[in-house]
Amino acid sequence: MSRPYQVYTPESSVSNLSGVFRSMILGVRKSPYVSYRIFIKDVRADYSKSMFGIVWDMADPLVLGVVFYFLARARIINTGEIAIPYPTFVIYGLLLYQTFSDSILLPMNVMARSRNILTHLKLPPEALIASALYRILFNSIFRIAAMLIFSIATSAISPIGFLKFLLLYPGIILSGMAFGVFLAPFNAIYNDIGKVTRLILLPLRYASPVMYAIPDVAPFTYVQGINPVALILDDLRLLATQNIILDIPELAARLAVLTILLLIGWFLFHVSIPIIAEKV
Amino acid sequence: MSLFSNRPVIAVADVSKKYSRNSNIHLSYGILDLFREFIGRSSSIDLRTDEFVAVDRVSFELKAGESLALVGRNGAGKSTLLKMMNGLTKPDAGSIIMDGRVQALINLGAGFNQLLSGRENIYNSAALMGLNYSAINAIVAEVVEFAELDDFIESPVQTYSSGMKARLGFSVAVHLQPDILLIDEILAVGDIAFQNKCFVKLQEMKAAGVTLVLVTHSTTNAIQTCTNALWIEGGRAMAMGPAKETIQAYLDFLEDVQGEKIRQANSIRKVLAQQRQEEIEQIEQETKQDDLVRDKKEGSPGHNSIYHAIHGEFDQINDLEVSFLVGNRETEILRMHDKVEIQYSFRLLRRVTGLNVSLVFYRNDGLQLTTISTLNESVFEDSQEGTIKCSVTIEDMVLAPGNYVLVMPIHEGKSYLYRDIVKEFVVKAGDRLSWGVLDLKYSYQVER
Repeated sequence: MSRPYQVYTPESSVSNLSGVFRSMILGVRKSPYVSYRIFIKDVRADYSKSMFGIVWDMADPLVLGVVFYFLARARIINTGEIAIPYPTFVIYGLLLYQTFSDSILLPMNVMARSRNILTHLKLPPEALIASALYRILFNSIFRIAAMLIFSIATSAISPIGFLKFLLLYPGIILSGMAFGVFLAPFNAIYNDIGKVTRLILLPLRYASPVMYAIPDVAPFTYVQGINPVALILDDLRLLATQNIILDIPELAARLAVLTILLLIGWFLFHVSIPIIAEKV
Repeated sequence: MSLFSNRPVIAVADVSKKYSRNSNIHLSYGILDLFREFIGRSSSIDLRTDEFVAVDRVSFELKAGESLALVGRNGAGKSTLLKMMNGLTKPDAGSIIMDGRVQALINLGAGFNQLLSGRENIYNSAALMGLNYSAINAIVAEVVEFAELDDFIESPVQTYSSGMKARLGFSVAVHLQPDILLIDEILAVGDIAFQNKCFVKLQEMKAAGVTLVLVTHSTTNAIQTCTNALWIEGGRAMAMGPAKETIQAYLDFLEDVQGEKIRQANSIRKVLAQQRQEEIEQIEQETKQDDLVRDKKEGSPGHNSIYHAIHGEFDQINDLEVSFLVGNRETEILRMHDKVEIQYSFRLLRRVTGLNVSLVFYRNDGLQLTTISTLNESVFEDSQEGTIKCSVTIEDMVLAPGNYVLVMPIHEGKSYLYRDIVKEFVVKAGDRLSWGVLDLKYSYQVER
């Protein structure tokens, strides 16, 4: 093992960009196991006094799904034009939106959640981000299983399309994490940012094609232009159920922009850790 | 770089760090500091409202295998310095070079999950300290053996005592083969046998070339474990050098601070006693032997304290004076093995038969150490009245360094005329190390 040599000065690490990039790459290389341990620790802590554990995470979208199913059946709400059975439509919508929401909130809260570790142990910032990613993937396993069961039960599935869905699924995680990682350092100082984000996520669910197809009228049309989750959510659902994907260039452009935002967020997350460690 | 080379492995140069007294109020400082970092501006030591300098231009160097104890009072800046050396926080001025693999034991429990077993927590802790799965597998058996947790290793950590947790944490950290080990006041936990085992391990590591920085309040640990010491007070380096001399300077400082507090306490006590005496005299004058005074003269019931019964009313004696003299100089700060003369005087308010006066020495935590009493000698006549003056000479003050309280019972037969604290005093170490409550005078004869 090479002998590490560290110099700590008041200078901003940004003044040595190549050093930061090297340190970020090194952080990724060092992270897999430590982030896995943080993930295990967090999962155990969350489900320690619960018999059903992850089931409770699924309960919220399932209950909401049932409510909307009955509202739609009684024609109290207009679901718009949808080509697949409504229960499958709504379950895909809700669970994918929940993944998006997790992908924002878990990285965003990871610094506050790891306060004790941050103030006492030196670990690569990437390990914290990766631990949040593990958690999102872990939750996703159950969600994807639920979506698959609904698809099969309602015969709304394309096997090839479902495989493509699995390949594109990281896209929705990317859409959320880009914001979550970017906002995490700010949220560690002002947790109002987390509260505002939660507040925004609530109406955004109704302004996204989660429980009904978004009508092509104002203000929904305008919101879709800036809604980071709408297009990928629609495409993922279409892929899994009908092997259809719409607006590929726009989707690719959106994912490219979100990737850039994620990289910027990662950079800020990395350089802010020593500042945050004394503020949390 | 080879071990024990002359190049320093730790170089701390003019390092300063500021903190906000209330970072919850000044959240904006956090955001401003973040933006400074993002736009490439250096941290600054300029103080904003409510900020203070926690570490102030501290410098030192350590070579491989050297060891440094950081000593100082709470809030002196020791832990802040350690956190900067570990890279947890950034200095606001100066620079720190750490040449080697650093392992910091700042909080043994950090990263522990109460619900996981001891064994799983070894994997957790070691992973957080930078080891991968195979590296942890290689050390896990050794860690378990060192921690002496036997069957408990498979039990959840929440069932462990604090000592057991400390053993586990320490065992993990010392088996990670660091080049530099930073330890923050964590060896005070665990039983004596395990503490001893830890110190043996630290000595082994030092001998193997590990550089050690130890923050501790135990000056004995510091002297026994470290070759050098740095005394920090108010963020500033007050002294650095060989551990024994530096720590002696620190102890002298502590004793001076304590002595000043005791001088103040003694003068306050004197003023209060005078006030009490004046109050009683005033009542006597006003009421001319009324019931209240009669009750008082029959003896107050007193109350209990950690120094046993206290009867502090000046209703049977007054004008009490007690002083310590060392070489004719009055003082409350003694040195071990000083010759001390205790002078006391008081006035009996009535004729007393069977007068006895004692001097009871307590450590300030209430441990009774010894009593000098006229009960052992025939000092006073059977019947006494008026002013009593007496002087007691202690040829050799054998009390160990510390803070003490002198309680003075004055009794007539079995009943107290007075019993209260009359003096607080300090015994300083001088140039000797001492353990326990006494420091006996002795001599060695070594046969070869």
